[in-house]
Amino acid sequence: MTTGSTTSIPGRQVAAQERQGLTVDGVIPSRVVHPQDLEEAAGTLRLCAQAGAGVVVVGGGTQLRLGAPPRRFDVALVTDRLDRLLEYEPADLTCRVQAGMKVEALQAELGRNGQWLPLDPPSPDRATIGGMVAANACGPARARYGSVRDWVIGITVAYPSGAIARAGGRVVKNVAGYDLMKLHTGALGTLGVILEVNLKVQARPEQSLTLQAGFDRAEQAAACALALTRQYLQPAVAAAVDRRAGASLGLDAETPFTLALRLEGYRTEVDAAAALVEEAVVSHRGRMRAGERPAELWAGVRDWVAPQDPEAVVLAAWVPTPSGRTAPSWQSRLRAWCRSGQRGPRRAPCWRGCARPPARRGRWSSPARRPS
Amino acid sequence: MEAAARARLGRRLQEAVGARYAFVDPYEIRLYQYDASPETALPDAVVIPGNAAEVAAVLRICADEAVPVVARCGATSLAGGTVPVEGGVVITFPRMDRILELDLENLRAVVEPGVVNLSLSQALRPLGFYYVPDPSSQGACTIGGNVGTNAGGPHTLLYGVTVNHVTGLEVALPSGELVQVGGRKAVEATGYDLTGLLVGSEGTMAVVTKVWVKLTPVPPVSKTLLAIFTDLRSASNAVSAIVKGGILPAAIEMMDQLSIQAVEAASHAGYPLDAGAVLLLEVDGIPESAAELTERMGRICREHGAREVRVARDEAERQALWKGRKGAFSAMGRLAPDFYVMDGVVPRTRLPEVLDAIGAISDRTGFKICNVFHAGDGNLHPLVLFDAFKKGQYEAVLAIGDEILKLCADAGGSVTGEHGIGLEKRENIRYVFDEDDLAVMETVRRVFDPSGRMNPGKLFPTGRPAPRTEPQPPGGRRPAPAPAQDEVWV
Ligand SMILES: Cc1cc2nc3c(=O)[nH]c(=O)nc-3n(C[C@H](O)[C@H](O)[C@H](O)COP(=O)(O)OP(=O)(O)OC[C@H]3O[C@@H](n4cnc5c(N)ncnc54)[C@H](O)[C@@H]3O)c2cc1C
Repeated sequence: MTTGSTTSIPGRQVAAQERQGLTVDGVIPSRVVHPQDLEEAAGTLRLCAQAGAGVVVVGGGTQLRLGAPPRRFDVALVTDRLDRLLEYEPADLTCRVQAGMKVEALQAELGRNGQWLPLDPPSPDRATIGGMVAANACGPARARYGSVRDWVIGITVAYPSGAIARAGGRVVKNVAGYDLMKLHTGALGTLGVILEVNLKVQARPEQSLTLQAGFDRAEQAAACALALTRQYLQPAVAAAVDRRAGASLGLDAETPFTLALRLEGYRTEVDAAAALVEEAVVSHRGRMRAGERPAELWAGVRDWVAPQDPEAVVLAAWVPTPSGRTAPSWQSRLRAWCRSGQRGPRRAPCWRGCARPPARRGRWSSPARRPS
Repeated sequence: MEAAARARLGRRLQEAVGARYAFVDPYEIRLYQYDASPETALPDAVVIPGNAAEVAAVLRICADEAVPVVARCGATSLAGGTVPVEGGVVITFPRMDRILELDLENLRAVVEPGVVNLSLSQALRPLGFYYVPDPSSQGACTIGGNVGTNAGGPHTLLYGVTVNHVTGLEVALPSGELVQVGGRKAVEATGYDLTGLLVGSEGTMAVVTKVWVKLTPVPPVSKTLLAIFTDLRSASNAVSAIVKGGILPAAIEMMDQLSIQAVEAASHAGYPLDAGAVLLLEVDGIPESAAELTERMGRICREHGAREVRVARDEAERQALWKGRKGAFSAMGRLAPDFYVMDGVVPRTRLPEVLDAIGAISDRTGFKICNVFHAGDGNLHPLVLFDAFKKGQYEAVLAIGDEILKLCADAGGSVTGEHGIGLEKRENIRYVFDEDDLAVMETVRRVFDPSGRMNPGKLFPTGRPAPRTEPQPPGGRRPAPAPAQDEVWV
């Protein structure tokens, strides 16, 4: 980092080949900083504030299109060098992570101990923990395991003044001080730069089983998914997929609609849930479909943003668990979709669709913007 | 506050809510000087609004008169959260106690702040649902107060605390505006999660007038185990082993010997009097999974030195065990005239050493300390037994409390897991946050409450120790002398 006088803008010139990755809504920053520690990040912010420069934090760059276009964007603050797992005590089910660590890298570390962070934001190979928090990025398993706000127990943030401040802590239960973790979750980096995140983690489910059922009509698939939401043993993810979308996910689409279900939990629970699914499918005039699950099915559903084929629809209904997590907005949308009898919103997965700030709301049927 | 100003305030409040529901009379306001903590302070006025619009009107008057506002629901705060240390108007909610809407389709209820926690779950049970967070005080505390403190409870281990079950709030801001944040939907949008911020803000930013809560289907079965250990350390190790072993119990509660004796004397639930520690464990699930997990947890307990593991045979036995646990604080009355309850948190793996250190403090100071707590999430509730009428004991107990909180903070934990900072721990908050941390929180607070009138003197350090009131029974002396301690717990 080059620092000139106090009013000069920190960072180095953005190189031509970097431009594309740093562009947000068509706005290109002139400078870029890759801080290597908390102090450098905070110092950068302070200098930018003094110089009146606009800063956008860049993690993995997977959600940069969220939010209104930046009014000013002079400096890109990239968190890629802050990528370490700082603390992890498996028996405490907690960890402390630098913001730039990739979601997938963290999952790999946790996986060594049979644990995971039960959040499945899109593109985990690129998405960072800090970006996931700032964008409140969740995946289709959100209904079962909760969203970002349910797993963040502490946060370290650099503010424009150059101050570094923490909230929360390292323990799973804590009401000391304000819950600023909630304020920064989904704030899109508008309040400060998230530098470290403390998380709760969990044991991986003992078993995971994918079932597929074919339906002739959308209403049947939807009603079946909704009926399963009323059960105690609801699926972790349920995706209703039409033929074309199914094809792009590798599903062998004999029927116009497929309901793909992922059941997770203790072995005994998954067995019992599978039996319930079969009953529900039959009573909604569907048929269970044997066959291998396409290897990339769930990653495809998770990363689904806009279909390559504009006519295709992917829907994911997620269902409440004993922890009472649900997505009513989704359910009503699903119902509306069935009632209207049309193809429905093209950019379907509501875990992203809802993640629009007001400026971008109501664009369900407009051509989807691709993720960067 | 001057008498004339107070009378004017009283008149204006009466105009807003009706003559019966606002008062300044010294006799009538006496009831509102305390909560479940030892501290007391008199308000200038008390008001009992009947709806959100009246709350907003009250706040406008308070803004106009520039007086502090203290929201008070069940007043079971153990941290002095509702004690009006800087005077002002206490707003209390016994009239706003309605369940406004049950939306079973979307698993939501909309309630007023004064709804008693337990009565919400009682209303839901027949429909196959419940509201998960279950503080031990659930028969008296309210959803509004739970939102104020982000209350926990035994079953929040698996299911999360209040904030995980609240999706929206209607609040009256200090300016008197009524606004809604969040709502029926799950919190999933980008944008500031103000609901999450306001939950647990202890009335220092806004007054909650309506709450959207999640409903949860009642699990098909809940199995409860009692594991009996000879000492605390092996029980603590069993807790870590269970959690690490991939089991997600709904609750893991621990009681030490002294607590067991008090609880058993009060509840006759069948707790073994000679045990060094017991774990109360619960799993939810379908019959097959619950049976299997019960068996696995029992095995782990035995491997870690449990001398006996009992499974509650029926609902009556299960309820008896829980009644004993939930009544634990009140049962302490059998051991000593007074107790002081702490609320520290430590990482689960540090439980053994921290419990040892608390034992050492007890040995050193001569005060008995009971431990009855949420072991699954490392949330300790050491109860220091004392007699407030013995000179110097109260001060000594406060010093012990301070030492224990420091211990928890130094172990990587927190000074409060669920009771809140309130008045009691406003200086202790410095054990976990530095100047910069607190400055940011203060900035956030000022966004909502620029003049600092919302529950002043709480949550933030003032540099002055919290005013301490020697506990005083209303009639002066305690009626009967406390029996000698030895007689009580053998
Ligand atoms: C025997 C006993 C056992 C307990 N067990 C537990 C337990 O297991 N878990 C636990 O978490 N707590 C426990 N507590 C503490 C207490 O019950 C909780 O803090 C509870 O949430 C307080 O609810 P309340 O309705 O009594 O609120 P109050 O005591 O009236 O208020 C609590 C705080 O919330 C604020 N507040 C109240 N109403 C509003 C409102 N409408 N808007 C904004 N702010 C408001 C107040 O200003 C105050 O700061 C226990 C207490 C006792 C006495």
